[in-house]
Amino acid sequence: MEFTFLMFLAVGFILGAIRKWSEKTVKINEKLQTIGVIILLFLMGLSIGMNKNLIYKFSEMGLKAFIFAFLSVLFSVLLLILLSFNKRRKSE
Amino acid sequence: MKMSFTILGTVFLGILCGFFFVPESGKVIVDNLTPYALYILMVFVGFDLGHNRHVFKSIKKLGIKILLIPVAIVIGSLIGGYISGIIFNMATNESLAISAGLGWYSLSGILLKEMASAELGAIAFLTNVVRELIAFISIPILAKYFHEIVVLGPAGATSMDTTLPIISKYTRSEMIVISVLNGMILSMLVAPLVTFVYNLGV
Repeated sequence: MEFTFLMFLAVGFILGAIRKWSEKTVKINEKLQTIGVIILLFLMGLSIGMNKNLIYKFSEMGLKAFIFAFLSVLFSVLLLILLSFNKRRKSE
Repeated sequence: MKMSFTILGTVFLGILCGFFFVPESGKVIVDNLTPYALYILMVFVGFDLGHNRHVFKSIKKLGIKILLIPVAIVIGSLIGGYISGIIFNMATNESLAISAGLGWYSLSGILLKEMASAELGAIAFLTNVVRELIAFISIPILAKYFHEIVVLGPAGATSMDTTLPIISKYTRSEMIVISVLNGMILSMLVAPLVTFVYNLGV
């Protein structure tokens, strides 16, 4: 299941590459993406909220989970910022 | 900034609706609907990429350096886990294993539930859910102030599926390919990495 999405990505790719689309079509695709993102975020929120067990656990160990997630994100971001400086210097 | 609030608001509204209004029987419907919403989005993202196929050339120029992105994310995540472990006075192998989930909550949660305990599985699950939420909120902000590759930091393994549409929206089309590649590499690494660090004698 985890890689099924690649198939859909490929379908979209072929549709996009098959001919030269008008500016208008590209704009519509952008709009659809935005609407799709909002629907996806709402659905993900729903599935978190419906999982009562998860919500109760959150009140119990939410702080721990937040610190773990936040610090992992922070150091990943810092290393990528370093990497991006390196990239910029080489491409100049 | 405005978009980050929209994202946060939408997820929060979803959580509230899910908690208060959706009956137990609705769970199956939502769980089945989410992958399809994602699949349809993937078609739009793919269309974007197909329309801008010149991006493959500029990615070729970056070459092997792209592989440094997942390496940086693995190292950064493990450092974050290590420090969190010190803060909460936990065993090092357990704290490293939590952050080795790289955002893929279902897998890291199940793995650690099986290998260790229900509690560690639950923390890993929650941590990686929170990581995904942080990614949703921070990607638009990071994309504005830093080089585009930085948005992959919070996303981790999710940069090939759930966070890909957001990354695609806030960065140039080049990033779609880099995102998918990064997400695939990290996703393949999650299971071996969690198993490895949990069994480290530290």
